[in-house]
Parts: sequence; structure tokens; C-alpha cells
Amino acid sequence: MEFDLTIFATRFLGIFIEATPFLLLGTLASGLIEAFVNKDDIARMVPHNPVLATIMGGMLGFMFPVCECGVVPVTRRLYKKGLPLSTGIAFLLAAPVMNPVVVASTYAAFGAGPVLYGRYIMTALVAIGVGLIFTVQNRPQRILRPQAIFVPITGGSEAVMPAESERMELLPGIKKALLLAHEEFFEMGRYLIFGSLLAAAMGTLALDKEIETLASNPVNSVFVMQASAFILSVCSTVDAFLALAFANTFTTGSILSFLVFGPMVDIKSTMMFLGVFKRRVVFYLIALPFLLTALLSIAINLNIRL
Amino acid sequence: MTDHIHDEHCDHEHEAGINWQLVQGWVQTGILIIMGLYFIDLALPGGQLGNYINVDNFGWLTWVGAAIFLSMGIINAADLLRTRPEEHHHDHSHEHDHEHASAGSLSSWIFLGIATIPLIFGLGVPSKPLSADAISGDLSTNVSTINFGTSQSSIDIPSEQRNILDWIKAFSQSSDLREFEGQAVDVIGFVYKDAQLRGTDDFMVVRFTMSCCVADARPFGLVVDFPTGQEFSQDTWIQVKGHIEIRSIDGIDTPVILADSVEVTSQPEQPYLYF
Repeated sequence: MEFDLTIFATRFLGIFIEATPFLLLGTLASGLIEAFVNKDDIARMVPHNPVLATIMGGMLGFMFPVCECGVVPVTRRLYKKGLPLSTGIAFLLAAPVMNPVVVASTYAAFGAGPVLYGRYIMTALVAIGVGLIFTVQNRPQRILRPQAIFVPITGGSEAVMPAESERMELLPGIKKALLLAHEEFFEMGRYLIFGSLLAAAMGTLALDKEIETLASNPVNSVFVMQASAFILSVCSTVDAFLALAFANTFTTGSILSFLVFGPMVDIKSTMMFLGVFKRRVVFYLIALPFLLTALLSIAINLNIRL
Repeated sequence: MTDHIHDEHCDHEHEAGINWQLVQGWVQTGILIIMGLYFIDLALPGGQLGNYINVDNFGWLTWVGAAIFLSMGIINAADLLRTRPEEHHHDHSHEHDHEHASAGSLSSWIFLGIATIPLIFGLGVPSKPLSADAISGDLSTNVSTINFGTSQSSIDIPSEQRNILDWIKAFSQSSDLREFEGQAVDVIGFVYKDAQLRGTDDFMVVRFTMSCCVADARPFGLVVDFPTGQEFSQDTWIQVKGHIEIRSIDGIDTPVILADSVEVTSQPEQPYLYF
């Protein structure tokens, strides 16, 4: 197929126009957290036990309903407020699925059945599992980029700042939130734009006959669906409807892998992760969920009973 | 511009005389406001939003986006106007210093340039919905294998009122395609010459469907049997009237529209069908 600028522009703008309001809402939420949530609130909210804290991170999406575009700025802001590393990673990976909107859309597409339950159980397992792996690393400087690191207030040049433990008044708080959202939009927006350009260049799903022959293979079908989820970069709020299209031809495990891995990592969210985490860590954040999801999905396909 | 006294955070990179932080602040403000206006232009009645996303479900989000863009732009403009340059030191300015390119540097301009890419595409390339060139693979697949899950049945819709998606759904939800034999058809779509149909007069009438945006767009089509079908060129929007005939192709029951009339029509206001 030749390169067609009009089609490329339509695909790029479609993804950009659909995703940008979610990113804007995420940056706004992040700005509001900066203005109205202080570090003590976070410290009080998060359990001291690292395992419990990570499990809480996995469930936090029901409190901050964000999709995969909005979750990145919110996570970064929570890190700056002192959220533990593993809690943030579990939140980052799980929140795009662990929220009321996605419960509704998955239910609408598949009904209350194994796909709905499987999606939530697997997402929790993978997100919390990856989060727990990061509990062994307690030096955020090795994981996070400098913009995301929690800086305990010390004296020096930052002393002009209002004391951060103070909650701001409503109107100045909103103004500050908008100014921060603006900063963050320009920073994260460029990753979203890169991601949308890449996803548009990859095109829509070209499910050729050769690929469909892999559809019933318990192992290959999983890898095909995970790769499609990564490339397509469909928003987690509607990916269930897209997955339906494959439900008859592809194995159940591979459908689940699409619904679990896709919202955690795709082209555009990978680009945005680069604004929070060091490059090496972004690699782990793709590879670990990929492998864990594949493992669970293949186990389901092979009907392994625990 | 007069000479400004810079605070210690931002005076090391740029030349005396021009406050690059202020200049780029205004450029960002401009981008935000133009983005907001572009989103409004898309979302207004008669706008092009329908070429990109599911307007019924997500049109309101574009308004939300526009509102946030404009609020950010206005607050930022007010902030730039009100703050004297020497005071232009947000309490978040430390966020720039580590990683962010300093104001006025080449990379900071490149980053600003990236932010204008959507505007360049949006305002520079004529807006069109996905067309036949965006279809890969062949469309004339076995309709009974398509899964629509728990979505509403379309068999109850009177046959002449079914659109292409309703037809495909009805076929997939039926246990015996023969029940559609002879039903009246009246559908709108664009012409697609499927490779499988090469060598025949048949062509397909196709619509892209989506639930969210073009990232999840899928084409669906029906084969049309019309004597002078070859006269219609790819991507022409047409209205096809006729009735359904079930043909056995390679042993698989395949619905085909036996067309009584095929008329060129204009592109529908919503080019995509929504799930």
C-alpha cells in the first residue's frame, strides 16, 4: 500500500483528537492534586506495608478514574507528592482498566462472563505483580526522571515557594492547577503526538489470512493479540468493542491478553512513560507486563488448573 | 522589548535583551488558543469532527478539550501580562531546570514545533474520512463469523431501514441466511472494488464502522450485483436499492445485493457507522 497523506492525516488526527481531551483532563487532575492535595494526605492514605501499598496502587483507579493518557501525568504528580514507587507503578498499569467507565464498556461488549472477570483478575495480578517487583528498588533516582522525584522541602532557593503542606485557597488553587496543566500538556503532549504519529503510520489492523491461521494456536494467538494491542493504541475505554471483532476467531486467552496488556502499554503510552521514567525502566515497564500477561493468557489457553 | 532583569533560574542561557521565556510563553499561549478554536471548529454543526471520531459518544469530549485549551490559554495570557518579567518565576519553574530545555534554546523551539504538528495536519491537509485506500485485506469474508457480542439485535429493524452495519449484524446473528432471501435493501456506502471480485461486474458497497475513533475503524461491506457496476469508480458514494440474494460461493452461503438501482449520492454527514 502506498503512503497516502490524507489517510495518514485522518488516522493521526483521529487518535490525537480522541486522546487529547483525556490527556488534558489528566493534566488538569494532576494540577488540582498539586494545588489541593498535600504530602501528608498521601502519607496518611498509603499503608506502610509495601505489599498493601502496592495492592492499593492497583485499586487506586476507582478513586482517580483516568485512562491511559491521563494516568501518566497523574502518576507523576503523585510521585512528586511522595507516593511510593511500587504503588505508583501498580496504579499506572492498572488504572486504565480499574475504573467504572471500563467496567461498563467491557460489560456492554462481553456481558458478565469469563472475559469480564478474567480481565479484572489478570489486570490486578499483572499490575500488582509488576509493582511488587519494584518494591526491591527503593532509590527513586534510579527509576524516575528528575521531574518526577519527590523533593523533601529543604531551605535554599526554593524557600520562596509557599509551604507545600498548606492547601491552597480555591481560586488561586484552580489558577495554579491550570498553569501547571499547561506546562504539563506541553511536556506530555509531545509524547502523545509522537505516539499518535507512530500509531497512525502502523495503520489499522491488517488481519491477513496468514495471521488468522495463528488465531487458534494457544501460544501464537496471544503474542499476535498483544502485539496488535501495542501497535493499535486504542483507548482502554473502548478496546472491548474492538476485541469483540476477534472473539470468534481468536482464543479466549489471547482476547484477554489484548484487554489486559493493551491498556497498560501501547505506543502512545510508552512515549509518555519516557517523560516519567528512565529509559531502562520504560523497557521493563513494557517487558514485564508483556511477559506476565502472556504467561497467564497461555496458561488459560492450555487450560492449566492451579 | 526593554532590558529585563532575569531571575537566577532563567538568565544563564539567553542573550541580553530578549526574554525568551516570555516569547515562548506567548507562543505556547497562541498554540493553546488556536488548538481550542480548532477543536470548536471541528465540533460545531457542519464541522469535520465526524471524519475522526464517534461524534455521538465522544463529541462532548472535544468540547471539554476546547474548554480546557481556552482556559489554559487565557489564564496563561493573564499570567504573562500581569507578571512583570523580573517576577516571572512560577513556583514550578524548577521543573524546567533539570530536564526541560531552557527557554530560547534550539531544543525548546523543536519541542514547541512538535506541539504544532496536529495544527499543521488539521489545517493544512484537507479533511477526509477513511476511504477505500485504507482497506487492507479482502472484505468479502464469511459474514457469519463476525461477532457482535451482546450488542442489540438488528433483525427487528425493517429491512429497507437497515444500514450496512445492521445488515452484517443481522447476518451474523442469524442461524440461517436463507431467511433474508428476497428482502428489500436500501443502503448508502462507498464503492470498493474487492480483489476477490476481480473479473466480475460485482463490486462492494462499504462503510467504515467505529466505536471510538479511526484507530478502531473497521470496514464492512456488501457485494453488489449490478449490470453496469464497472462504471462506478472506487470511493464514489452511492445509494444501492435492490434485494438480497443468497449465493453459495465455495460452499459458503454469501449474501449479495441484486441491485435494481445504483445512484451516485453525496457523502453522508456522518461518514462512519457507529457500534
